[in-house]
Amino acid sequence: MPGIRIPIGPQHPALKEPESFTFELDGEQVINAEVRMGYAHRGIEKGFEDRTFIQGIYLAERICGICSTSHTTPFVLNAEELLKLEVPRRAQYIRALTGELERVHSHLLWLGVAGHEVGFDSLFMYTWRDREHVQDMLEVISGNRVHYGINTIGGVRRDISTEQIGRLKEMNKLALARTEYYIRLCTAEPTFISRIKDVGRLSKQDALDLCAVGPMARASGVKRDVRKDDPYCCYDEMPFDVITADTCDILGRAVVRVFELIQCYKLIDFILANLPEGDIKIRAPRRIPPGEAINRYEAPRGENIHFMKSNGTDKPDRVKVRAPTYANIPATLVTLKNCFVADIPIIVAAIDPCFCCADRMIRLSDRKGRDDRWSWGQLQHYSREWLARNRRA
Amino acid sequence: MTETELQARITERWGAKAAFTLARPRRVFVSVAVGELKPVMRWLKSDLGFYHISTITGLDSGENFEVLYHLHDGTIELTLRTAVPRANPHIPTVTDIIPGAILYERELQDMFGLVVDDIPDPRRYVLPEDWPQGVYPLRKDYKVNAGN
Repeated sequence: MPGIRIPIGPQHPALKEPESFTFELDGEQVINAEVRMGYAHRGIEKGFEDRTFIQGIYLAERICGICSTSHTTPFVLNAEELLKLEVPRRAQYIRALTGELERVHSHLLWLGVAGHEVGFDSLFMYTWRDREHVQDMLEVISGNRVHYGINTIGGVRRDISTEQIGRLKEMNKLALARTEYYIRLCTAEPTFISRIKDVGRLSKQDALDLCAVGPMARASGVKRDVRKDDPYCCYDEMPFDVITADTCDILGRAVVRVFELIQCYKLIDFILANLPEGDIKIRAPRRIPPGEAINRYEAPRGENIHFMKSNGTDKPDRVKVRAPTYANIPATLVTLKNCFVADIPIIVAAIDPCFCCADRMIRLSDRKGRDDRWSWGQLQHYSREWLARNRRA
Repeated sequence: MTETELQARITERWGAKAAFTLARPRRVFVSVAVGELKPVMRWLKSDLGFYHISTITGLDSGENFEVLYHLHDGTIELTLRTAVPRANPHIPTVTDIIPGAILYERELQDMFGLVVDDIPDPRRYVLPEDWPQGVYPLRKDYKVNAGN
């Protein structure tokens, strides 16, 4: 079966939609790209307005399967800000730990998807094997592989025991050792590099003008990371570096993600060694007085922003969510211009999109009357064959 | 720049035209009339470095629609807010200042029925093609069928 099923996020094309991308071609080159995507097909923002804040946490978690904590955390941070709650530091550290583990499994997932898109299926198998190990770490903390249910308003729902901390430290060492192999791959393996070097270029100015976020922007030299710029969950107490690259291509995006993994392991070690004593939550009232709050979060894919307006009841008046992939779409269309058809799969995959890959349809048209519709699997197959015949130096 | 310096610069340049509120560290709200929206945003970008728009939130406040532009300069989150009457819900596009705003403006048109004047691409973005015209899901008078 071609493609990989990735859990559903807010910017999903409706699965039955026949045309998600439309590329206008001149021979093998893309002159123009357009994308049609849906976001609120589940009406989640509207759904928040009919649910209590606690019910909203469950809804926020299910915005995405890969980056669920990236949505519940800013949601509860907003509620806590409106309630003027002082959340215990132990809870914030546990939130950061869950967030970093989520970043690790998400980046490993991406590395596998990228490998698959360029025909390097062994990389896909290895990274997803290692990702299982990280899922085990998340299961130690939360009991779940996805949708951890760790957050509540006022803190976290589960504590971490000394024994669990010991196990997680050992598991983190193994994850780091395996990632060191991927660093060598991304920086030294010529066949992998030739597929992604100078492909999908996004200049720094375009990244800024089009408001790109996350590794997509950092690979074009934009040194922005919400954990450093606008810290939450005690990140201002934790030592880590913001990783950037200046190659502005997919190789840059791969290098940024892989070196971010090293920073994640560093953060996980720090959190496990410095977990503050104390409670894991503080009691929160059901009704939230009127107000507005905004919180930003560095999800694996980039800046996630939540806005919440409360009105004195137990339900929010308005919740606005903008997840990172949505922000990267205008920049993606620029990276697709002037690329070869065979590069389309890896360029689209390089933004680490949070939607189901396998069901997209591609429409290719040119001025000579061509108007084809391909499935993603057909595009991948075409890509590998074309590149085998036209191997780059 | 600190929030205090930011307040001083904005007040000095715009006076009563821009009402400044500091909600908490790194969270600033500035209210302007819709006619001042673009000049203020242009100045915020060119003079103060607010180059990034995170998203645009629409609010249905009954008689008015409020539109909140969430900007940042890397550190401070500055929300530029304006309001337009429900009876005449027109706002100007800001894509000539910050091109990355395009999808957020298209979403406002779909979900609230706001009309973004001079928007470079007015097509539907979020709603499916067969969604009825004139039905705006995020307005308060649109009720979801009770199913939950």
